[in-house]
This record gives sequence, C-alpha cells and structure tokens, in this order.
Amino acid sequence: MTELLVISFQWLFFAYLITLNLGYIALNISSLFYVLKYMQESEFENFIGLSPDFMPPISILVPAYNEEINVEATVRSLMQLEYPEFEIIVINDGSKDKTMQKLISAFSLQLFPEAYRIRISVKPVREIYCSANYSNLRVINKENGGKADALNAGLNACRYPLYCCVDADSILQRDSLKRVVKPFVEDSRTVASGGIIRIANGCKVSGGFLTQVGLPGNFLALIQVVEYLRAFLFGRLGWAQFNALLIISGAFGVFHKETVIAAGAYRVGTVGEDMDLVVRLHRYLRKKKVPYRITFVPDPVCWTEAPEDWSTLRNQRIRWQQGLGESLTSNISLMFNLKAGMTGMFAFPFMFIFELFGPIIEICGYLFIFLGFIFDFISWNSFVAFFMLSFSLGMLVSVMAFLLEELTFRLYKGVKESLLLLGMAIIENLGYRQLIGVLRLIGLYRWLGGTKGKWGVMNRTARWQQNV
Amino acid sequence: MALKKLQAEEDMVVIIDNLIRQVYWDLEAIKAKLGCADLSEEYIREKSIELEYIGQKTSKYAKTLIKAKQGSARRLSAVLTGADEIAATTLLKEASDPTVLIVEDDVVDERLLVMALERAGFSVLVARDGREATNIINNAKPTDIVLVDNMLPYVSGLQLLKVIRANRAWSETAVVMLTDNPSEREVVYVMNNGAQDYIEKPFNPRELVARLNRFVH
Amino acid sequence: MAIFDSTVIAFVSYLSIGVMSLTLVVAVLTLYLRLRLISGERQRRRFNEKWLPIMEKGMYELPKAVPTLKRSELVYFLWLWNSLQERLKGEVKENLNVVARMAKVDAMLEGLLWSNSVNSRLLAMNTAGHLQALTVWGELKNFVQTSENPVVALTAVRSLIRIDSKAAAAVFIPLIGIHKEWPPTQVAGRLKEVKPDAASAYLEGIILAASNEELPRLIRYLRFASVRTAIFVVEGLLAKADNEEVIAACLSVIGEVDSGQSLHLLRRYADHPKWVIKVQVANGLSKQGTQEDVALLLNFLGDREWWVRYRAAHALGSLPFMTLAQLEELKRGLEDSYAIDALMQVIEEKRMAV
Repeated sequence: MTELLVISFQWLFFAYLITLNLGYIALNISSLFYVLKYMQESEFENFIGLSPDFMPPISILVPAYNEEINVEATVRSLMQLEYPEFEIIVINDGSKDKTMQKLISAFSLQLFPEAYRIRISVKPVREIYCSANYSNLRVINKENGGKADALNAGLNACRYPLYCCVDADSILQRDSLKRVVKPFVEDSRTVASGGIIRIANGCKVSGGFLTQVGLPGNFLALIQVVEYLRAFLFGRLGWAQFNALLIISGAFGVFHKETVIAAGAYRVGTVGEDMDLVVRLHRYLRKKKVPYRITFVPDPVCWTEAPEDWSTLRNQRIRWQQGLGESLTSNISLMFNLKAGMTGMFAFPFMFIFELFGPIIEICGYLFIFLGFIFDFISWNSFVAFFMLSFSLGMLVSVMAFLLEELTFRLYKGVKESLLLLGMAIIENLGYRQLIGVLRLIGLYRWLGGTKGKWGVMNRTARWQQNV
Repeated sequence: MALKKLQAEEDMVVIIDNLIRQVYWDLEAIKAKLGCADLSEEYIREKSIELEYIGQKTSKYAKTLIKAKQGSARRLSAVLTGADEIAATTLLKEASDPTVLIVEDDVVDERLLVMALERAGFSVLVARDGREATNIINNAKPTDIVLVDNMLPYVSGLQLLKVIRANRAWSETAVVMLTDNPSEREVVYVMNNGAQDYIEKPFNPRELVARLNRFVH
Repeated sequence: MAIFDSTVIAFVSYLSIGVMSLTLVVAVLTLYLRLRLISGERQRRRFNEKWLPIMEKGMYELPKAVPTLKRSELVYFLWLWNSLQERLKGEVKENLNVVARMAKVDAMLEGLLWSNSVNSRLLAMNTAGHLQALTVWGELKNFVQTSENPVVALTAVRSLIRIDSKAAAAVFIPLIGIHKEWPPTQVAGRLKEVKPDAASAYLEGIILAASNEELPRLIRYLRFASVRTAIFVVEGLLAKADNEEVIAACLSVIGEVDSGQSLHLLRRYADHPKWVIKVQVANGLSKQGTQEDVALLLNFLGDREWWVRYRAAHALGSLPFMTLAQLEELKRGLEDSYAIDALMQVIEEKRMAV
C-alpha cells in the first residue's frame, strides 16, 4: 500500500515538474510571438514618437506612508516625466513622520478648497493642498487607511480619464509614461497597461531617473535579476498575448479610471491590492461582456530596488504568496469559467495550481527524492535522472528568457555581463528556486492559517542613488 | 580638469593670434623692403613669390583662428562649474560676435541648432539640461540670447524661463522658447512670463537666424 | 528498492539530454544575435561618422559629389537622413533631398518598400514623404488602401500628405469610416496635417454616409474641417438627431471650433435631461459664452450630477470677461452648498494662476 502511495506521489511530482516547465516554455514561446510582432514596428515608432498633441492626459497617484526621506525626490522626478499633460496627486496616508511637512515646504503647498467628490468611500480626508509653484501638483492629507484606501482617495480626486499608480520608491525613465500609454492610444478597448518591472540595484540613478543600466554587485540581487527575467517578465507577456494577464504591478501601471471604479476600485484589507484589482477587472468585464484589453509593454519602464538581504527577501516573498492567495480566492468564480475565455480556462487555473499550491508539491517532491535517495528506496540512477531533468528544464526556461531579452531590449550589453547572468541562471536553478519555494510554502501556510499579511520594513540601502 | 582644458584652449588661441601677427609683420617688412627702388629685378620676383605665399598662409591661419575660437566656445560648454563658466563667457564676450546660450537635451537638435547659429556668426554656448543652464545663469556673464527647449531634464524650460527673468543680470537677455507642441495655453504662459519669442519644432534654420537677429544690437 | 524501472529512467535521461541540447542551441543563438548586434552597431557608428558631416554640410552648401552609397548601407543612411529631416523645415530639407538623390537613394527606395522588415518599410515610406517621391505614390496609396497594419497604413498616409495633401485627403479620409482599427489619435494627427480646406469636403462625405453607431466617432473629426463646414454639418445633424451620443458629439465640436456664432445651438440644449449633453453645453460656453449665459451656467451649478456642476463652474471661470471679483460676487449669491463648493474651487484655481 505504501509503495503504491509512494509511486503515485513520485509520478505526481514528475508530472507537476514537466507540466510546470512546459507551461513556462509555452508562455515563453507565446511571449516570443508577442514580442516579435511588437518589435517589428517599435524601432520606427520610437523614432517618430507619438505626437504630443494627442497623448491622453494622465493623473499620477502616489500613495505615501512615512516617506519623509524619499517623497520630495520622488515627486520632483515625476515632474520631469516627458509627457505633455499630466497631474500628480500625492496621498499622504496619515504618516506619523514629517512627510506632510516636507511636502509643504518643498513645493509651497497651500490649502485648496477642492470640491472633493466621494465616489468611493475612504477614511476621512482632512485637507487638500495645491502647490503654488506647480499647478499640476496636489496633495491629499487623510487619515491612515492602508495603500488601497489611499489609492481610492486619489481616484476620487482624479481629473483625467486615465490614471497611473506609482510606488514612492519606483524609479522611472523620462519616457516611461509615453511608452506605457501606447496601448491606450492604439486600441481604445484598453483598460489597463503595465510595464515590465526591472531591478534597479546596480544602476545609476540621478535626479530620480535611471541614467545608466548596470548589474548589481550583491549576490542576492543578481540572482533576482535572472529570476525576474525568467518568471516575471516573459511569463507575464505570454499571458498578455491572450488577454489573460492577471498581474499588473502596483509599482507602475496605467488604468482607465471609470472602469476601475465601476469594478469596485481597490479592495481595502488585502495585501496584494494590485493583483486583486486586475483579476477583478477581468471578472467584471467578462461578466458585463464588454470587449476589453489588459496588456503589457515589453519596454523597461519601471525600476525597483530588490531586497539585498535575506530577511527582507523572505518577508517579501511570503507576503506575495499571501497576496496571491487572497486575490485568487476572492475571484474564484473565474476558475475554469468557460465564459472567461483564456483567463478562466488557462491563466487562472495555472496561477491557482502552479503558483499558489505548486510549492507544496514542489517542496514535498524534492524532499521526498532526497530522503528517498538517502534511505535507499530511490536508486542513484533515478536520482540523477530526475535531477538532470528538473535542472535542464529550468535552464531551458532561463535561457529562453535570455533569448527574449536579446530580441527586445538588451539591457545588459557587455559580454562579461552576459556570462555572469548565465552563471547566475545555473545557480538560480540549483537551489535558489527551491529556497524561494520554501518561502512560498510558508506564505501559503500563513495564508491558509489566516494570518494577515503585514508590510515589513524594507532595509533600503540606496547606496547607488545619487542626490537630486 | 575642465579648467586645464579651458586653459589649453585659451593658450591655443593666443598662440595662433601671435602667429598671425608675426605673419603680418613679415608681410609688412617685405612690402617695405620692396618699396626700395634700388632692388634688383631678381630680388623683387623672389620676394613677390614669398609675399604671395605668406598672404595665403595668413588667410589660412586667419580661418583657423576663427574656427578655433568657435570650436573653443562650443567645447567650453561641457561640464563646467562656477569659475569656469565665468571664464567661458568672458572669453566669448571678448569676441564681438553676438552670443547665444542654447539649452537643449536632444543631441541631434543641439547639433543642428549650433551649426545653424555658428554659420550665421553667433558665438554659441551649450547647456545639456536645466541644471547646467541654471548653473550658467547664476554664475556666468549673460549672453545676448537664450534659446530654451521646453522639455528638459531636471528643470523644465518654463521653470528656467522664470529663473532667467528673476536674475537681474540677465534682464537684457532675450529669451526664445523652442517648443514642439505650442498649445495656446503654453504660448500665452510663455509670453506672459517674459519670453520674447517662441519657435516651433521642426524649425527652419533661416527663420531661426532671422528671428534671433532681431535681438542683437 | 527501485521506484522506477530502468525504461522510465532511460526515458527521463534521454529527455534531459534532449532538453540540455535544446538549451545549448538557444544559448548559442542568443550569443550569435548579440554578436551580430554589436557588429551592426559598430558599422552604423562608422557610417554615421562618415556621413553626418556630409549631410550637415549639404544642408547649407551643395556638395560637388557624395561617396557611393552601397545597398547594404541604405538603411543606415535613411535612419540618419530621416532623423535630420524630421527636425527641420524650409530650404534645408530640399538641400537634404538633393544629397539623397546624389546618393541614388530614390532609385533604391522602391525596393525597400517591399522589404521583409516592417521597420525598414516604414522607414522607406517616411523617406518617400520627405523626398516628395511621386514615383512611389501608387505604392503608398496601395498600402493605405490594403494594409491590415494600422501603423503601415497611417505612415503611408503621412507620406502622401507630405507629397500632395489635397490628393492624399481624397485617398484616406473616405477610408476612415471603414477602418475602425485605425487609432483615433493617429487619424486625428493626420487630419491636422491636412489643411481644413482639403479635408472639409471629404469629412462631410463620410459623415453623411455614416450609420448611427459610427457617427459619434466620426463627428469628432469635424474639428479638423473648416469652421463653416463643421457648423453646417453639425446643424444638419442636430436638426434630425435623437441619439444622445450624436448630440453630445455635435455639441463638443461646436465647443471646439466655434467663434461665437453658433452659441444658440448650444443654448437650445440647456434643459436637456441627459447630463452628458449638459456637460457639453457647459464646455462649449466656457470660451465663447456671453453675459446672458452666466444665468444658464449658474443654473447648472445646482444640477444633481457632479460633472455638470464641475464643468459649469470651470466654464464660469474661463469666460473671457469674468473677473475674480465677479466670481466672488456670484458665489455670494448662491445658497446651494454644492454649488458654492464648486465655485470656490474655481476661484482658488484662478487666484493661484495669476
């Protein structure tokens, strides 16, 4: 009996491994087509540039909580975005430090009697300020309610049909807004557009903008560069091809305001409010049978600092897994929902089975094989064979991601960098992935157990940032 | 480092200047000698040839001098600080050409503007972004004209306009905005805040020079 | 105890070897692409170093001769040449055209229009526009009429406009109704490049032929027609319109093009039940309204719908004759708290802008 159980579990693990990696390979191939089509005209389009006359105006929302160190620099850098018409709304979410004072003095803020429209109920808004020097900057001072609540408060005050949410520590490029808004210009069905989040560690930042790309020196950050390329970048693009994209990072994304509000805006109390919104948008629009498009631009548009120490990384990944659990289960009606097209039939189940619950099978499988080898019910041959298969499948996915990167935006140009990344890909498959799997398992356990996710304090080094 | 470069440029200009002066002296000396009646025909022929040769060399050196001055002016624009900018514009003022400060971040646009203006006889100083420009405005001698692009890194064109107008030393300077999207609101704002003119991109080099010449006394 | 028998293990092993080799192939391919890119960039740099001074000098003085341009270098030439052309106006453009013709670009252009790379084809089209290459008019027209790629079609349109804007208008404007996939902002861009006189007749044509569903989208393009045509068409549509989207679109056009002659059309809809229409009335009156419209806008300030109040307040603030003092006076006369809030915001904005 136990032998049967053991055998079937091994087959399950085997099947899981193959299907997961085949899935990623399929996603990468789908990304390949998307990207080749995109790059076909992009060189010329970037050369000509979008005419500034007809770029849609955008409201930029910046939720801020205890950001007295960064907030001025962030706002100043946002002001220099190369975009003809946009406004910046900073939402001070009841910060306990000097965030508000910094803003008032840096931008000559004055009280502004805005006819604040409460379309989404939020924690009370105390005052609204407008800058005397910069007419397109407003600041909302409200009671603390969390990031989702802050974003909702910002949505209430948006003046333009499109809005962009930006994290206070996101680093942008001057043309980020121009690039990420292109899907809206090309196709009026677009309701959300995101950009690929890249790792800023090791890059030169000046005046709040990225000035030079570079690889990080820190080992953890370096592995994350490869991990992002493999899992987050091209995996996401693959889904965008089928309009089944379930995640647009809250670090940077542009959305259609009215659609978001109609779908319920941001849900307070979740840990991953960005993913929750996107999944809900799919559900809402499918139900209403409205033709829509949620998409990605492969251009690098937003850069963020990756954790360089183990404890921050740990907290981040545990938190992500919890957020994933919350977003998926609250929209469970999408699962295998034929009416929801590719999103319901493939993207959602894939996320549910492989991303959410996958870590269980994966970790148990690895454990089992190891223990099996040690306790001698798995032969050396089996062990080696499985190990090789698992490793080579992972390497194939990584290397395909490198190919896609080469076909698109080739950020890391030197030969030395390429070899370094290749080396890191090997290490990533040989232990890092598994370690992250353990973290995700912990996150899964916590979510199932009902522990509320909390925002850890990020150990920011920002060594590599220059002064404004 | 930049100061050394500047001094090297200065030295070169001085050397060339001296060279020309020497050539002219030689020319004058030979002319004077030729004026003497009791020179042999042979001598006269020989010296005429020499004269012609020196004449050619002079015009060549003169051209080089002008080019060197122009080249120096342009090279001086790269990453200078404080005292260097004062030295830069002082050097420019010494040349009696009308001076223009161009503030433009697009590399190709900058090349085209510099070429168009230098051909028309302007002495050109270039700032690559609003920060460099602010530095120059706060520390160096004012130019005759400032040509500002409206989309700039670090300090926007409109902000820069305010900075220039707030600086009393630059009150005589004409400010012309370069804009690729002249919306009614922007044009009105720009004129209300002290710009003398605005020029649309894509620009016509001839028209640009004609418009700027209006502001040269 | 072996869980898996040897056939399974053998299968798994071969599979891994297969996957590893595939990985190797992909890695080598990536490396090859990288090397090709590096050498391509080096070539381009060298090309630009040689040709940029020639082009720049050629802008002002006609060169006696230019170096021979190889077919393989054509694309480098065109990127460089177009980057200059896009930034310039006037006689220098014609001089650059001469340089291009001396390099025999016009002969090689037609071939590039059919290149495999879409980027190269777009580049060739753009070049044809600057060069005023009448010889490829037929091909460009073909792209406009038959291409499924909106970028290709609209780039071809832009080049046609550069060559002959009147004829171009005749080619592409009638197609706007059919090609719903052409992005409205890009179409608007092209219409702006065509002069109103050329565009008017054709815009009128497509609107008369349009169905009720297409009308709102197409009506908005009327702002690129001459004022006379726009008002004429809009008046005609409003006379028999019952669809609120059509009415709203018409009113928005009036708001954008009008110089004050057609305000009576706007005022007629001041009592319309739908708020989208009232918003357009407020928008339209904001720049051209007269003293008699103040009462109308004040009425809107008390409307149930937030957007109507908001737009009406901004319209009052933008009226050309309205001063801060007058706005304060109006505010004092209000009783409705929502209206007071709306107007207070506008007053503050106006004060800060001064």
